Amino acid sequence: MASATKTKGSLFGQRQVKILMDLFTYVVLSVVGIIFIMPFAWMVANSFKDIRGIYKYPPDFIPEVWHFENYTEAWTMTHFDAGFLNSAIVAAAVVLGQLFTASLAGYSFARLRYPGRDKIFLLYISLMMVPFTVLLIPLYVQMRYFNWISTLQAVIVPFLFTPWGTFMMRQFMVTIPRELEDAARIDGCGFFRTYWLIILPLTKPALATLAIFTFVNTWNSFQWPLIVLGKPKVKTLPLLLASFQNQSGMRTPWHLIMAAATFVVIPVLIAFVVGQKYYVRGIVTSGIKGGG
Amino acid sequence: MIRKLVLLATVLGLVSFGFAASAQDMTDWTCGTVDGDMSAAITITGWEGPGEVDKFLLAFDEFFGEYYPNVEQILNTGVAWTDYWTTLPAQLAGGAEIDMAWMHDTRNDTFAANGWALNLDSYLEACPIPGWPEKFVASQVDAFNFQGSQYAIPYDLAPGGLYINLDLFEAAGLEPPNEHTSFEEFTELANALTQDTDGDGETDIWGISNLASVGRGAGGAYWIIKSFGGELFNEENTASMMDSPETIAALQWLADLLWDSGAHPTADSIAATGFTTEFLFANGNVAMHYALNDAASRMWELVGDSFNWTVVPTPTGPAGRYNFIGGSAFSIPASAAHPDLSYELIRYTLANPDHLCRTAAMGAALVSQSDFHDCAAPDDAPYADAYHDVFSVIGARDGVHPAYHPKYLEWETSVWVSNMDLLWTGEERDAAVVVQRAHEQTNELLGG
Repeated sequence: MASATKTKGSLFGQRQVKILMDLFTYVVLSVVGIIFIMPFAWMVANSFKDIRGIYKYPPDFIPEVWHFENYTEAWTMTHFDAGFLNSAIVAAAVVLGQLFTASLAGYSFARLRYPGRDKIFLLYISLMMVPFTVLLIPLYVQMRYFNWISTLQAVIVPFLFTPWGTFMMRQFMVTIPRELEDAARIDGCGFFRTYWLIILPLTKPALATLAIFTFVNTWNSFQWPLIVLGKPKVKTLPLLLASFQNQSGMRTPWHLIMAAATFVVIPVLIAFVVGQKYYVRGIVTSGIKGGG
Repeated sequence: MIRKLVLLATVLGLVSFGFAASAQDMTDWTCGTVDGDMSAAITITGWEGPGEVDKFLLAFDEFFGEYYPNVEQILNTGVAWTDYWTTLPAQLAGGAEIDMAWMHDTRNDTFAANGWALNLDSYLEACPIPGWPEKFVASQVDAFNFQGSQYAIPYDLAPGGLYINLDLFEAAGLEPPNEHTSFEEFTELANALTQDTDGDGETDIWGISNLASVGRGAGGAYWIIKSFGGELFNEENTASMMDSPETIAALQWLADLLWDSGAHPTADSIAATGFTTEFLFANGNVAMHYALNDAASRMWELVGDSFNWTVVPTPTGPAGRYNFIGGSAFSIPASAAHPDLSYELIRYTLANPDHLCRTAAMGAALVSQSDFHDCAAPDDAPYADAYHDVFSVIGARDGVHPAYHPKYLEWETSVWVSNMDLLWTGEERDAAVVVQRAHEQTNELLGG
């Protein structure tokens, strides 16, 4: 019994200590949680104010008058319907593409034996160290050569391959018992069927983690789409959000930006909520967090 | 007979006068090099967003509607300022077929020197812009001229001035400054207007704001340096002249407003409010706010009837009176697919008298042609007369900006901002120390 563990001279038993520790942990986590959630809460609260309410000093957290029309106004002010579709197409294509190429490459680097495999792997993952800024102009020239400027291909194709994702998948796949693969071979599976029927289903947590990271990165991607997507019809959501801003901050319709930002962030929240279970497991088993 | 001759002469005179009066309207806004039936897409990029760019979009629509109905406009406007200057060079270096781009005076020489912007001299010669250059403000024409060639056509000028909360002056029993106010008198005014209204030891109303801020370019302080008799570079832009006692005195004056008298809010105190200084003025927390002319219409919207305000000129220094003047322009990238069409569009947008007044009124802007400066402030605006005096007359007359050169941007980021930020953040409060380091780094960069 917990009370039986109470030692002489001690004010608290182990159970009380545990309760106190749990309480302390919850308080700390709650405070940290509130700190993290405040910008989002502030964004949502401001999305229901008018522009004077946004600039009110000292500020009110709860709007005096709720302006629900901000959402319809923000939606219709720019091509958000097209923006959502563009972002969804780009995110889906890049996520599916990366899952396929990264898992296939990871399988190759983790499971297949061929001369120079590890050297090629090191060479490939060393590309993670090249800052994207360095690639901007060569990549732009390449897109021009393909006549892909202001097309969705320009924001999809260059990102179908990922050294980081490959590294992550490889790290996960090396932990899968080789016996499963051997059994598949005995049953007559070739390399691709082994990958498709045995390895891939076992890498779901890592795939989910990669999918979430890739989705969030692609959904929020700004700099490259800004450079390469000039036509309004092909613009993705972050570009449309940015187009609300003016050089003079006081003309910027912040209330509409907040409304637009709220509905832009919803798909990302859904992706996290849906994939949360796999996401955590993927991070734990592959030992990788963050990236892109 | 004589009566008939007189009548005939009168009729002929009236007809001639009518032709002369309507001559401007008969200007051909095409140059004859582009087929009116051409079917193409013209790509235009700029930093001005909704509410700012509309004044030009109307003219663009009118131009294409009337002369090139089959041309599609691909507008990539509203690109945030900092993003614009990172993406545009990348796009142009990659050979992007952008046909027209917003250009800023601080960037013109860099773009011209790198071969990113088209030299417009041959266009100006072959198909002159009506009123060019005599009706355009000379300082702005010059600002987009690099080594004797024109690389962009200015669309506005933006002089600096002081926005004044008249109610705070009246409550303090003080007269607002004027163009003859010295920097010493100005400092006294700023100090007298600075208040801790609730007695909690924190400033609630600042005397002056927005003269210095973290990350600001040299243009923000150059007019003060000139007023004190200082300079940044030599005439050839090959060596620093920053170590003069006058330059140091000017920068020390600014630093003292922040750290000695406390009449100017610091970066931390502004951040603590969560707002910009422009908003703080509009909210009654600042007595004098330094800003360019385009802030006037925003102030009108935001201040509303909260208090009485006006604009007045910046002070006069021991070396005379100067104020900042800046401006923007339209340029044609060297890799443009339709440069001839872009030139015609620029020509129409910036010189057609039929819409220049509307352009000025919509942006509260001083368009580059001085004939239309009165349109910038609506007649019913309470600040209209003051706006005219401070910005159109005094501002245009005394406007100065640093000498821009191809290394200017690199210098501004790596030398000016990195050193001056030490003063504006309070890490260093002695201007002489900061200036000496900036002086040496400038000479190293410019090879002086």
